[in-house]
Amino acid sequence: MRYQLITYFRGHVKIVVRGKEIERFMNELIHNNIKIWDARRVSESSIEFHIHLNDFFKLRPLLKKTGCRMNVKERFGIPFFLNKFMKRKFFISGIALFLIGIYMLSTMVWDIEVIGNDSLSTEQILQEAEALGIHKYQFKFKMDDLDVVAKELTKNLPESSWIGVTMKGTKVQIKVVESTIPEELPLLNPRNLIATSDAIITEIFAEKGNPLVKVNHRVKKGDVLISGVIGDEETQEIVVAKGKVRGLVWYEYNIKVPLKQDVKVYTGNVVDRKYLVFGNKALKIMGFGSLEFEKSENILSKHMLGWRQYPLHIGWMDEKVMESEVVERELNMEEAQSVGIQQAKSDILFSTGIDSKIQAQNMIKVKEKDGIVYMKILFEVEQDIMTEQPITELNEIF
Amino acid sequence: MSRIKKKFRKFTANVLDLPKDVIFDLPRITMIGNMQLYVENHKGVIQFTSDTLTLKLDVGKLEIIGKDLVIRAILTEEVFIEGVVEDVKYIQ
Repeated sequence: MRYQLITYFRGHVKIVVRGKEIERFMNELIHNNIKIWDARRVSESSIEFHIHLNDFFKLRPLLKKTGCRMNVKERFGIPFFLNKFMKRKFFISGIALFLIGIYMLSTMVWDIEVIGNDSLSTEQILQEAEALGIHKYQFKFKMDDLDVVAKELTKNLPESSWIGVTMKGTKVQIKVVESTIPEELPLLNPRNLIATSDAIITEIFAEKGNPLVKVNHRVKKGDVLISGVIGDEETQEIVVAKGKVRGLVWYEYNIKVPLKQDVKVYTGNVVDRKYLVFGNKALKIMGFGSLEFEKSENILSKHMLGWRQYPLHIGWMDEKVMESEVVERELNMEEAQSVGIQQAKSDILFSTGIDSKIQAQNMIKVKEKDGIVYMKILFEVEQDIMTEQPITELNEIF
Repeated sequence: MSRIKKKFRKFTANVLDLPKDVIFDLPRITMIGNMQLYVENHKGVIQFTSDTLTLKLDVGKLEIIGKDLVIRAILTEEVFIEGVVEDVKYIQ
Protein backbone atom coordinates (compact mmCIF):
# COMPACT_ATOMS: atom_id res chain seq x y z
CA MET A 1 0.00 0.00 0.00
CA ARG A 2 2.86 2.29 0.88
CA TYR A 3 4.71 2.54 -2.35
CA GLN A 4 2.50 1.50 -5.17
CA LEU A 5 3.04 2.62 -8.67
CA ILE A 6 -0.25 4.48 -8.70
CA THR A 7 0.78 6.41 -5.62
CA TYR A 8 3.98 7.34 -7.38
CA PHE A 9 2.09 8.53 -10.45
CA ARG A 10 -0.36 10.56 -8.44
CA GLY A 11 2.38 12.08 -6.32
CA HIS A 12 2.62 12.32 -2.58
CA VAL A 13 4.25 14.59 -0.01
CA LYS A 14 5.83 14.13 3.36
CA ILE A 15 4.63 16.83 5.74
CA VAL A 16 5.32 17.81 9.31
CA VAL A 17 2.41 19.02 11.42
CA ARG A 18 3.03 21.01 14.58
CA GLY A 19 0.45 21.84 17.21
CA LYS A 20 -1.02 20.90 20.55
CA GLU A 21 -3.98 18.91 19.34
CA ILE A 22 -2.36 16.64 16.85
CA GLU A 23 -4.47 13.62 17.81
CA ARG A 24 -7.59 15.62 17.14
CA PHE A 25 -6.21 16.60 13.80
CA MET A 26 -5.57 12.94 13.00
CA ASN A 27 -9.10 12.01 13.95
CA GLU A 28 -10.36 14.77 11.67
CA LEU A 29 -8.31 13.28 8.86
CA ILE A 30 -9.85 9.87 9.47
CA HIS A 31 -13.32 11.32 9.53
CA ASN A 32 -12.75 13.14 6.26
CA ASN A 33 -11.51 9.94 4.68
CA ILE A 34 -8.05 11.33 4.04
CA LYS A 35 -5.55 8.56 3.82
CA ILE A 36 -2.19 9.04 5.54
CA TRP A 37 0.67 6.62 6.04
CA ASP A 38 4.06 6.25 7.69
CA ALA A 39 3.06 8.55 10.51
CA ARG A 40 5.59 8.98 13.31
CA ARG A 41 6.24 11.28 16.21
CA VAL A 42 9.13 13.60 15.57
CA SER A 43 9.01 15.65 18.74
CA GLU A 44 6.67 16.49 21.62
CA SER A 45 4.49 18.69 19.49
CA SER A 46 4.93 17.45 15.95
CA ILE A 47 4.37 14.40 13.77
CA GLU A 48 5.32 13.69 10.22
CA PHE A 49 3.39 11.59 7.71
CA HIS A 50 2.81 11.00 4.01
CA ILE A 51 -0.27 12.12 2.18
CA HIS A 52 -1.53 12.00 -1.39
CA LEU A 53 -1.06 15.15 -3.37
CA ASN A 54 -4.77 15.66 -4.07
CA ASP A 55 -5.58 15.12 -0.38
CA PHE A 56 -2.98 17.68 0.52
CA PHE A 57 -5.20 20.55 -0.58
CA LYS A 58 -8.01 19.42 1.70
CA LEU A 59 -5.78 19.86 4.75
CA ARG A 60 -6.14 23.60 5.15
CA PRO A 61 -9.58 23.81 6.77
CA LEU A 62 -8.73 20.94 9.08
CA LEU A 63 -5.52 22.65 10.17
CA LYS A 64 -7.42 25.85 10.90
CA LYS A 65 -10.00 23.95 12.86
CA THR A 66 -7.47 22.27 15.11
CA GLY A 67 -4.96 25.14 15.27
CA CYS A 68 -2.06 23.18 13.81
CA ARG A 69 0.66 24.31 11.44
CA MET A 70 2.17 22.37 8.63
CA ASN A 71 5.39 22.24 6.59
CA VAL A 72 6.12 20.22 3.48
CA LYS A 73 9.29 18.23 3.97
CA GLU A 74 9.66 16.17 0.81
CA ARG A 75 7.91 15.72 -2.50
CA PHE A 76 7.60 12.44 -4.37
CA GLY A 77 6.13 11.26 -7.65
CA ILE A 78 5.57 12.08 -11.25
CA PRO A 79 3.72 15.43 -10.84
CA PHE A 80 6.72 17.00 -9.08
CA PHE A 81 9.14 15.43 -11.48
CA LEU A 82 7.20 16.78 -14.42
CA ASN A 83 7.03 20.17 -12.83
CA LYS A 84 10.79 20.28 -12.39
CA PHE A 85 11.25 18.89 -15.84
CA MET A 86 9.03 21.44 -17.51
CA LYS A 87 11.10 24.25 -16.05
CA ARG A 88 14.15 23.17 -18.03
CA LYS A 89 13.14 24.63 -21.36
CA PHE A 90 16.36 24.12 -23.23
CA PHE A 91 16.55 20.53 -22.15
CA ILE A 92 13.05 19.88 -23.39
CA SER A 93 13.62 21.69 -26.63
CA GLY A 94 16.79 19.60 -27.06
CA ILE A 95 14.84 16.39 -26.65
CA ALA A 96 12.22 17.62 -29.10
CA LEU A 97 14.89 18.63 -31.60
CA PHE A 98 16.56 15.27 -31.21
CA LEU A 99 13.32 13.40 -31.88
CA ILE A 100 12.52 15.60 -34.86
CA GLY A 101 16.07 15.10 -36.14
CA ILE A 102 15.86 11.34 -35.84
CA TYR A 103 12.53 11.36 -37.61
CA MET A 104 13.78 13.57 -40.41
CA LEU A 105 16.92 11.53 -40.89
CA SER A 106 14.93 8.33 -41.01
CA THR A 107 12.69 9.73 -43.71
CA MET A 108 15.68 10.32 -45.95
CA VAL A 109 17.19 8.00 -48.51
CA TRP A 110 20.74 7.29 -47.43
CA ASP A 111 21.76 4.56 -49.78
CA ILE A 112 20.79 3.04 -53.09
CA GLU A 113 21.69 -0.53 -53.71
CA VAL A 114 21.58 -2.21 -57.07
CA ILE A 115 21.61 -5.98 -57.10
CA GLY A 116 21.31 -8.60 -59.76
CA ASN A 117 22.88 -6.62 -62.57
CA ASP A 118 25.55 -8.35 -64.56
CA SER A 119 26.04 -6.75 -67.92
CA LEU A 120 24.23 -3.54 -67.03
CA SER A 121 26.52 -1.26 -65.07
CA THR A 122 25.40 0.02 -61.71
CA GLU A 123 26.16 3.58 -62.79
CA GLN A 124 23.82 3.25 -65.75
CA ILE A 125 20.98 2.02 -63.56
CA LEU A 126 21.63 4.73 -60.98
CA GLN A 127 21.60 7.33 -63.72
CA GLU A 128 18.22 6.15 -64.97
CA ALA A 129 16.92 6.08 -61.41
CA GLU A 130 18.22 9.60 -60.86
CA ALA A 131 16.31 10.75 -63.92
CA LEU A 132 13.17 9.31 -62.31
CA GLY A 133 13.85 11.16 -59.09
CA ILE A 134 15.53 8.53 -56.99
CA HIS A 135 18.83 9.67 -55.60
CA LYS A 136 20.68 9.80 -52.35
CA TYR A 137 19.99 12.35 -49.61
CA GLN A 138 16.41 13.15 -50.44
CA PHE A 139 13.20 12.70 -48.55
CA LYS A 140 11.23 9.56 -49.12
CA PHE A 141 7.95 11.42 -49.50
CA LYS A 142 9.38 13.43 -52.38
CA MET A 143 9.82 10.30 -54.46
CA ASP A 144 7.19 8.92 -56.78
CA ASP A 145 5.39 5.72 -56.02
CA LEU A 146 8.02 3.01 -56.16
CA ASP A 147 5.88 0.72 -58.33
CA VAL A 148 5.62 3.43 -60.94
CA VAL A 149 9.34 4.07 -60.76
CA ALA A 150 10.05 0.37 -61.18
CA LYS A 151 7.84 0.24 -64.27
CA GLU A 152 9.50 3.30 -65.78
CA LEU A 153 12.94 1.89 -65.07
CA THR A 154 12.11 -1.39 -66.78
CA LYS A 155 10.90 0.60 -69.76
CA ASN A 156 14.01 2.79 -69.89
CA LEU A 157 16.44 -0.09 -69.55
CA PRO A 158 15.60 -2.50 -72.37
CA GLU A 159 18.39 -4.88 -71.36
CA SER A 160 16.48 -5.73 -68.21
CA SER A 161 13.41 -7.89 -68.22
CA TRP A 162 12.22 -6.89 -64.77
CA ILE A 163 13.19 -4.27 -62.21
CA GLY A 164 11.85 -4.07 -58.68
CA VAL A 165 12.32 -1.06 -56.44
CA THR A 166 11.79 -1.52 -52.73
CA MET A 167 12.41 0.60 -49.68
CA LYS A 168 14.34 -1.05 -46.88
CA GLY A 169 14.48 1.43 -44.05
CA THR A 170 16.60 4.25 -45.37
CA LYS A 171 17.91 2.18 -48.27
CA VAL A 172 16.41 1.92 -51.73
CA GLN A 173 16.99 -1.47 -53.22
CA ILE A 174 16.82 -1.85 -56.98
CA LYS A 175 16.60 -5.47 -58.01
CA VAL A 176 17.40 -6.13 -61.63
CA VAL A 177 16.65 -9.24 -63.61
CA GLU A 178 18.46 -9.05 -66.90
CA SER A 179 17.18 -10.47 -70.09
CA THR A 180 19.71 -12.58 -71.92
CA ILE A 181 20.51 -11.14 -75.31
CA PRO A 182 21.96 -13.53 -77.89
CA GLU A 183 25.64 -13.07 -78.55
CA GLU A 184 26.42 -10.99 -81.55
CA LEU A 185 28.23 -12.75 -84.33
CA PRO A 186 31.31 -11.13 -85.78
CA LEU A 187 30.62 -9.32 -89.04
CA LEU A 188 32.24 -10.99 -92.00
CA ASN A 189 33.02 -9.90 -95.51
CA PRO A 190 31.99 -11.98 -98.48
CA ARG A 191 34.79 -14.45 -98.94
CA ASN A 192 36.14 -17.59 -100.49
CA LEU A 193 37.94 -20.29 -98.57
CA ILE A 194 41.28 -21.21 -100.14
CA ALA A 195 44.00 -23.73 -99.38
CA THR A 196 46.90 -22.75 -97.17
CA SER A 197 49.26 -25.33 -98.64
CA ASP A 198 49.52 -28.16 -101.11
CA ALA A 199 47.44 -31.04 -99.85
CA ILE A 200 45.12 -33.95 -100.58
CA ILE A 201 41.58 -33.30 -99.37
CA THR A 202 40.38 -35.77 -96.76
CA GLU A 203 37.26 -34.06 -95.62
CA ILE A 204 35.18 -31.18 -96.94
CA PHE A 205 32.04 -29.75 -95.46
CA ALA A 206 30.57 -26.59 -96.92
CA GLU A 207 28.19 -24.91 -94.51
CA LYS A 208 27.70 -22.01 -96.84
CA GLY A 209 29.08 -21.50 -100.32
CA ASN A 210 29.90 -23.64 -103.26
CA PRO A 211 32.40 -26.50 -102.71
CA LEU A 212 34.76 -26.73 -105.67
CA VAL A 213 36.81 -29.73 -104.63
CA LYS A 214 36.06 -33.23 -103.48
CA VAL A 215 37.69 -35.74 -101.16
CA ASN A 216 40.97 -37.14 -102.54
CA HIS A 217 41.43 -34.15 -104.83
CA ARG A 218 44.92 -32.76 -104.90
CA VAL A 219 45.01 -29.02 -104.34
CA LYS A 220 47.75 -26.46 -104.57
CA LYS A 221 48.37 -23.60 -102.24
CA GLY A 222 45.89 -20.80 -103.03
CA ASP A 223 43.29 -22.96 -104.77
CA VAL A 224 39.70 -22.05 -103.99
CA LEU A 225 38.12 -24.79 -101.90
CA ILE A 226 34.74 -23.31 -101.12
CA SER A 227 33.59 -20.44 -103.27
CA GLY A 228 31.56 -17.58 -101.94
CA VAL A 229 29.82 -17.15 -105.28
CA ILE A 230 26.71 -19.25 -105.52
CA GLY A 231 24.07 -19.69 -108.16
CA ASP A 232 24.37 -19.89 -111.89
CA GLU A 233 25.35 -17.13 -114.27
CA GLU A 234 21.90 -15.59 -114.34
CA THR A 235 21.13 -15.49 -110.66
CA GLN A 236 24.31 -15.03 -108.80
CA GLU A 237 24.86 -14.16 -105.18
CA ILE A 238 27.95 -13.55 -103.18
CA VAL A 239 27.97 -14.98 -99.67
CA VAL A 240 30.37 -15.57 -96.82
CA ALA A 241 31.77 -18.99 -97.51
CA LYS A 242 31.79 -21.11 -94.38
CA GLY A 243 32.85 -24.67 -93.81
CA LYS A 244 35.53 -27.08 -92.84
CA VAL A 245 38.19 -28.52 -95.11
CA ARG A 246 40.87 -30.91 -93.96
CA GLY A 247 43.68 -32.35 -95.96
CA LEU A 248 46.90 -34.30 -95.82
CA VAL A 249 49.99 -32.09 -95.84
CA TRP A 250 53.63 -33.21 -96.00
CA TYR A 251 56.35 -31.76 -93.90
CA GLU A 252 60.04 -32.51 -94.29
CA TYR A 253 62.18 -32.09 -91.21
CA ASN A 254 65.95 -32.00 -90.87
CA ILE A 255 66.87 -32.79 -87.30
CA LYS A 256 70.17 -32.76 -85.43
CA VAL A 257 70.49 -34.58 -82.13
CA PRO A 258 73.84 -34.67 -80.22
CA LEU A 259 74.60 -38.06 -78.70
CA LYS A 260 76.10 -36.56 -75.56
CA GLN A 261 73.61 -34.66 -73.47
CA ASP A 262 73.88 -32.78 -70.21
CA VAL A 263 71.35 -33.83 -67.61
CA LYS A 264 70.79 -32.23 -64.25
CA VAL A 265 70.41 -34.67 -61.35
CA TYR A 266 70.09 -34.38 -57.60
CA THR A 267 72.82 -35.94 -55.54
CA GLY A 268 70.56 -36.66 -52.61
CA ASN A 269 72.25 -34.28 -50.20
CA VAL A 270 69.64 -32.10 -48.56
CA VAL A 271 69.81 -29.33 -46.00
CA ASP A 272 66.59 -28.30 -44.26
CA ARG A 273 66.08 -24.79 -43.06
CA LYS A 274 63.18 -23.44 -41.10
CA TYR A 275 62.00 -19.87 -40.77
CA LEU A 276 59.45 -18.01 -38.74
CA VAL A 277 57.55 -15.57 -40.94
CA PHE A 278 56.14 -12.26 -39.76
CA GLY A 279 54.44 -10.36 -42.54
CA ASN A 280 57.04 -10.43 -45.30
CA LYS A 281 60.03 -10.87 -43.01
CA ALA A 282 61.51 -14.26 -42.21
CA LEU A 283 63.62 -15.27 -39.24
CA LYS A 284 65.79 -18.34 -39.60
CA ILE A 285 65.40 -20.71 -36.67
CA MET A 286 66.96 -23.93 -38.01
CA GLY A 287 69.64 -24.93 -40.51
CA PHE A 288 72.46 -22.52 -39.77
CA GLY A 289 75.91 -22.90 -41.25
CA SER A 290 77.37 -22.26 -44.65
CA LEU A 291 76.44 -24.43 -47.60
CA GLU A 292 79.01 -26.82 -49.04
CA PHE A 293 77.10 -27.46 -52.24
CA GLU A 294 78.54 -26.27 -55.52
CA LYS A 295 75.17 -26.19 -57.22
CA SER A 296 71.86 -26.40 -55.48
CA GLU A 297 68.17 -25.83 -55.85
CA ASN A 298 65.83 -24.41 -53.24
CA ILE A 299 62.28 -25.52 -52.66
CA LEU A 300 60.27 -23.16 -50.47
CA SER A 301 56.98 -23.95 -48.82
CA LYS A 302 55.22 -21.33 -46.78
CA HIS A 303 52.56 -22.03 -44.16
CA MET A 304 50.67 -18.97 -43.05
CA LEU A 305 48.25 -19.01 -40.15
CA GLY A 306 44.84 -17.50 -40.46
CA TRP A 307 41.47 -17.50 -38.87
CA ARG A 308 38.64 -18.16 -41.33
CA GLN A 309 39.33 -15.89 -44.25
CA TYR A 310 41.41 -13.43 -42.25
CA PRO A 311 45.15 -13.86 -42.61
CA LEU A 312 47.17 -13.43 -39.44
CA HIS A 313 50.46 -12.62 -41.22
CA ILE A 314 52.28 -15.10 -39.02
CA GLY A 315 53.54 -18.46 -40.11
CA TRP A 316 56.53 -20.60 -40.80
CA MET A 317 58.49 -21.50 -43.90
CA ASP A 318 60.39 -24.66 -44.80
CA GLU A 319 63.30 -24.42 -47.17
CA LYS A 320 64.83 -27.49 -48.71
CA VAL A 321 68.24 -26.97 -50.27
CA MET A 322 69.03 -29.87 -52.57
CA GLU A 323 72.45 -30.35 -54.07
CA SER A 324 72.40 -30.89 -57.78
CA GLU A 325 75.03 -31.67 -60.39
CA VAL A 326 75.17 -31.90 -64.12
CA VAL A 327 75.86 -35.36 -65.50
CA GLU A 328 76.77 -36.07 -69.06
CA ARG A 329 74.72 -38.84 -70.57
CA GLU A 330 75.46 -40.76 -73.72
CA LEU A 331 72.51 -41.68 -75.95
CA ASN A 332 72.52 -44.61 -78.32
CA MET A 333 71.22 -44.24 -81.86
CA GLU A 334 67.67 -45.36 -81.11
CA GLU A 335 67.28 -43.01 -78.20
CA ALA A 336 68.66 -40.14 -80.22
CA GLN A 337 66.18 -40.86 -83.00
CA SER A 338 63.18 -40.98 -80.70
CA VAL A 339 64.28 -37.73 -79.09
CA GLY A 340 64.51 -36.11 -82.51
CA ILE A 341 61.15 -37.43 -83.67
CA GLN A 342 59.51 -36.26 -80.47
CA GLN A 343 60.90 -32.77 -80.96
CA ALA A 344 59.70 -32.63 -84.55
CA LYS A 345 56.22 -33.87 -83.64
CA SER A 346 55.68 -31.29 -80.96
CA ASP A 347 56.95 -28.64 -83.34
CA ILE A 348 54.38 -29.70 -85.97
CA LEU A 349 51.49 -29.79 -83.54
CA PHE A 350 52.49 -26.38 -82.28
CA SER A 351 52.48 -24.82 -85.74
CA THR A 352 49.43 -26.58 -87.24
CA GLY A 353 47.07 -26.47 -84.31
CA ILE A 354 45.47 -28.87 -81.89
CA ASP A 355 43.10 -30.40 -84.46
CA SER A 356 45.87 -31.75 -86.58
CA LYS A 357 46.83 -35.39 -86.53
CA ILE A 358 50.10 -36.96 -87.59
CA GLN A 359 49.05 -39.79 -89.84
CA ALA A 360 52.45 -41.15 -90.82
CA GLN A 361 56.13 -40.53 -90.44
CA ASN A 362 58.84 -41.67 -92.72
CA MET A 363 62.53 -41.68 -91.88
CA ILE A 364 64.27 -40.87 -95.09
CA LYS A 365 67.87 -40.56 -93.97
CA VAL A 366 69.83 -41.19 -90.74
CA LYS A 367 73.52 -40.40 -90.40
CA GLU A 368 75.93 -40.08 -87.49
CA LYS A 369 78.85 -37.75 -87.66
CA ASP A 370 81.11 -36.31 -84.92
CA GLY A 371 78.75 -37.44 -82.14
CA ILE A 372 75.72 -35.80 -83.76
CA VAL A 373 72.86 -37.70 -85.40
CA TYR A 374 71.45 -36.09 -88.54
CA MET A 375 67.95 -37.16 -89.57
CA LYS A 376 65.59 -36.33 -92.37
CA ILE A 377 61.96 -37.24 -91.67
CA LEU A 378 58.82 -36.83 -93.71
CA PHE A 379 55.59 -36.33 -91.78
CA GLU A 380 52.12 -36.74 -93.20
CA VAL A 381 49.77 -34.51 -91.23
CA GLU A 382 46.03 -34.21 -91.48
CA GLN A 383 45.05 -30.66 -90.66
CA ASP A 384 42.72 -27.75 -91.41
CA ILE A 385 43.89 -26.28 -94.67
CA MET A 386 41.51 -23.45 -95.40
CA THR A 387 41.97 -19.74 -94.98
CA GLU A 388 39.79 -16.89 -96.07
CA GLN A 389 40.13 -14.77 -99.16
CA PRO A 390 37.86 -11.74 -99.36
CA ILE A 391 35.81 -11.37 -102.53
CA THR A 392 36.50 -7.94 -103.86
CA GLU A 393 35.04 -6.62 -107.07
CA LEU A 394 38.28 -7.46 -108.82
CA ASN A 395 37.91 -11.10 -107.86
CA GLU A 396 34.39 -11.02 -109.08
CA ILE A 397 35.33 -9.73 -112.46
CA PHE A 398 38.07 -12.30 -112.66
CA MET B 1 -27.84 -0.77 22.52
CA SER B 2 -30.85 -1.82 24.39
CA ARG B 3 -30.75 -4.93 26.50
CA ILE B 4 -33.21 -6.81 24.34
CA LYS B 5 -31.25 -5.99 21.22
CA LYS B 6 -28.07 -7.11 22.90
CA LYS B 7 -29.58 -10.36 23.99
CA PHE B 8 -30.95 -11.00 20.56
CA ARG B 9 -27.61 -10.43 19.00
CA LYS B 10 -25.87 -12.69 21.46
CA PHE B 11 -28.42 -15.35 20.71
CA THR B 12 -27.89 -15.13 16.92
CA ALA B 13 -24.14 -15.13 17.38
CA ASN B 14 -24.42 -18.33 19.36
CA VAL B 15 -26.88 -19.99 17.03
CA LEU B 16 -25.09 -19.08 13.82
CA ASP B 17 -21.61 -19.46 15.36
CA LEU B 18 -20.50 -16.03 14.08
CA PRO B 19 -17.39 -14.25 15.34
CA LYS B 20 -18.19 -11.86 18.12
CA ASP B 21 -16.63 -8.79 16.54
CA VAL B 22 -19.14 -8.92 13.73
CA ILE B 23 -22.09 -8.95 16.03
CA PHE B 24 -20.94 -6.55 18.70
CA ASP B 25 -18.84 -3.59 17.71
CA LEU B 26 -15.71 -5.08 19.23
CA PRO B 27 -12.19 -4.38 18.06
CA ARG B 28 -10.28 -7.16 16.36
CA ILE B 29 -6.61 -7.02 17.20
CA THR B 30 -4.09 -8.95 15.12
CA MET B 31 -0.48 -9.05 16.20
CA ILE B 32 2.42 -10.42 14.21
CA GLY B 33 5.21 -11.14 16.63
CA ASN B 34 5.95 -7.92 18.38
CA MET B 35 6.58 -6.07 15.15
CA GLN B 36 3.21 -5.46 13.55
CA LEU B 37 -0.23 -4.80 14.93
CA TYR B 38 -3.59 -4.42 13.21
CA VAL B 39 -6.53 -2.97 15.03
CA GLU B 40 -9.90 -3.04 13.34
CA ASN B 41 -12.97 -1.26 14.57
CA HIS B 42 -11.29 1.57 16.42
CA LYS B 43 -13.02 4.86 16.96
CA GLY B 44 -10.14 7.32 16.71
CA VAL B 45 -6.76 8.27 18.11
CA ILE B 46 -6.51 9.64 21.64
CA GLN B 47 -2.75 9.85 21.97
CA PHE B 48 0.11 9.13 19.64
CA THR B 49 3.79 9.32 20.56
CA SER B 50 6.69 7.11 19.54
CA ASP B 51 6.20 5.12 22.79
CA THR B 52 2.46 4.90 23.12
CA LEU B 53 -0.60 4.82 20.99
CA THR B 54 -3.97 5.10 22.63
CA LEU B 55 -6.99 4.28 20.54
CA LYS B 56 -10.57 5.02 21.38
CA LEU B 57 -12.92 2.06 21.23
CA ASP B 58 -16.67 1.63 21.30
CA VAL B 59 -16.34 0.80 24.96
CA GLY B 60 -13.17 1.93 26.72
CA LYS B 61 -9.80 2.34 25.05
CA LEU B 62 -6.78 0.38 23.89
CA GLU B 63 -3.28 1.39 24.89
CA ILE B 64 -0.32 0.10 22.92
CA ILE B 65 3.07 0.60 24.54
CA GLY B 66 6.34 0.03 22.70
CA LYS B 67 9.25 1.72 21.00
CA ASP B 68 9.58 3.52 17.68
CA LEU B 69 5.92 3.15 16.89
CA VAL B 70 4.92 4.16 13.40
CA ILE B 71 1.42 4.28 11.97
CA ARG B 72 1.91 2.60 8.64
CA ALA B 73 -1.65 3.30 7.62
CA ILE B 74 -4.75 4.65 9.23
CA LEU B 75 -8.31 4.49 7.95
CA THR B 76 -11.68 5.18 9.50
CA GLU B 77 -11.89 1.73 11.07
CA GLU B 78 -8.39 0.31 10.79
CA VAL B 79 -4.92 1.09 12.06
CA PHE B 80 -1.75 -0.68 11.07
CA ILE B 81 1.11 -0.12 13.45
CA GLU B 82 4.78 -1.09 13.10
CA GLY B 83 7.56 -0.95 15.66
CA VAL B 84 8.53 -2.85 18.78
CA VAL B 85 5.30 -3.61 20.62
CA GLU B 86 5.83 -4.32 24.30
CA ASP B 87 2.39 -4.10 25.84
CA VAL B 88 -1.22 -4.00 24.75
CA LYS B 89 -3.62 -2.83 27.41
CA TYR B 90 -7.38 -2.94 27.24
CA ILE B 91 -8.83 -0.25 29.46
CA GLN B 92 -12.52 -0.50 30.19
